[in-house]
Amino acid sequence: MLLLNDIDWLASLLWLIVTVTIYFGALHLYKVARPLWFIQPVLHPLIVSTLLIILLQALANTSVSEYQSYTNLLSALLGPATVALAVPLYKQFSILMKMSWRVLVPISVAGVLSPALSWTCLYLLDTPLNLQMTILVKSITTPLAMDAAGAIGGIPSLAAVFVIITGIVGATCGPALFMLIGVHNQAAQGTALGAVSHALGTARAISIGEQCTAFATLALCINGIATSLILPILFG
Amino acid sequence: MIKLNQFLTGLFFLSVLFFAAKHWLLQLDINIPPALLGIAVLFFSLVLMKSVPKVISNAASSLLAHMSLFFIPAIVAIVNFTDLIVAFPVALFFSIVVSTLISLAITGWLSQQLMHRFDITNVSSDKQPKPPSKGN
Repeated sequence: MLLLNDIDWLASLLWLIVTVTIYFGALHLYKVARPLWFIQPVLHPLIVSTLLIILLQALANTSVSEYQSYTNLLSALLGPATVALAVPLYKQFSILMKMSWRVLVPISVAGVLSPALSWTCLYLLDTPLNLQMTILVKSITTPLAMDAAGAIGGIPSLAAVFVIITGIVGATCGPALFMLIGVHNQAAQGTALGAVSHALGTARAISIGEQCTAFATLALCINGIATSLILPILFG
Repeated sequence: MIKLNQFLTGLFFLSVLFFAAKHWLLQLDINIPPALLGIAVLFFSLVLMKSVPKVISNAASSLLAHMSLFFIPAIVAIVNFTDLIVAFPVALFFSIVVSTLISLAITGWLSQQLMHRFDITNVSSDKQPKPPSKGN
C-alpha cells in the first residue's frame, strides 16, 4: 500500500476495480443460484472469483506476484477485518461463558482430529516428509500456520495454500454437511467452522448469524494459538 | 455520507489497532499473529466500555460481511503450486478435502450434543436453522 509510487498505480487501480467487481458479481450469482442447492457450493464467490481472476491474469500476462502487489490494499484490510471479530465475540460473550467446557472440548477434539486425519492420509499414501509436516497446520489461520510450518520442517508458502483450500472446503461444504447430518445449532456450527476451517470458515459463519460468528471466532483463536504453540514442542 | 464517515472512522480505529499490534510484536520479537493481539485488545476495551461504539460496530459489520474479498489476493497464489497438486492428487484430496469434511462433521455433531444438553432455549435464540443469507 505504501509502495504505490514504485508500482504502476493505474494498473493497481484497475486490478482493484476488477477484483471488487468480480467479487460482487460472484456474490450475486451465488445468491441467484440458491434454488440450485446441489451445485451451489461449487459456485461459492471465492471459487468463482479466484478462477476468473486467474483467467484474467493469464490473458493480461500479469504474474501472481504482480497481481498481489497491485491488490495490496485489499490484503491490507484483512488485518483490520480480523480485529473486528472482537465485536461479535464481545456481544456473545455471556453465552460463551455459560458454555465453558462445552465449547472447549469440541475445539480441542477438532484441533487434534483434523491434523491427525490429514497426516494419516498423507502417511499412508507415502508422500514426502516435508509435505506431511506442512499438512499438520492446515486448520489454523494463515499467519500462524506459516510460522508453525516453518518451525516443524514444513514449507510455509505451501502451508498457506493448504490452509486456504481447507478453509474453502469448510466454507463451501460446511453448511450443506451440517444440514445433512442434522447439526442445526448455530453455536455448534460456528464452533466446527472456526476450529476446522479457521478464518474462512468464520467468514462463512458471519452469513449464518451473530452467535455462529462468535463461536467460530472463539474456536479460531483457541485452536490457532494452541496448535501453533504445541506443534513446535512436539516436532520442532 | 454520514454512514461513510462513520465507516471510515471505525476502519481507522481498527487499522490503528492492527498496525500498532503488528509494530509492537515486531519490536518485542514476539511470534504471535498481530490480528490475535488486536482481537484481544479490542475485546478487553469493549468489556471496559461495556458497549460497542457506533463507529466500531458499523465498520466491523461491513468489513466482516465481505471478509472473503480480502482473501482473494492470497488465494490466487494457488497457481504457483499446481505441480505439487498434480503430483499427489489422491493423497491431497483425502488429506485436505475428505479429512476436513469428517472433522467438521464430528466437531459439529459433538458440539451440538454437548450444547444441546446444556440449554437449548438459550443457545438457539436466533431463529434457527436459518438459511445462509450471504455468499461469503
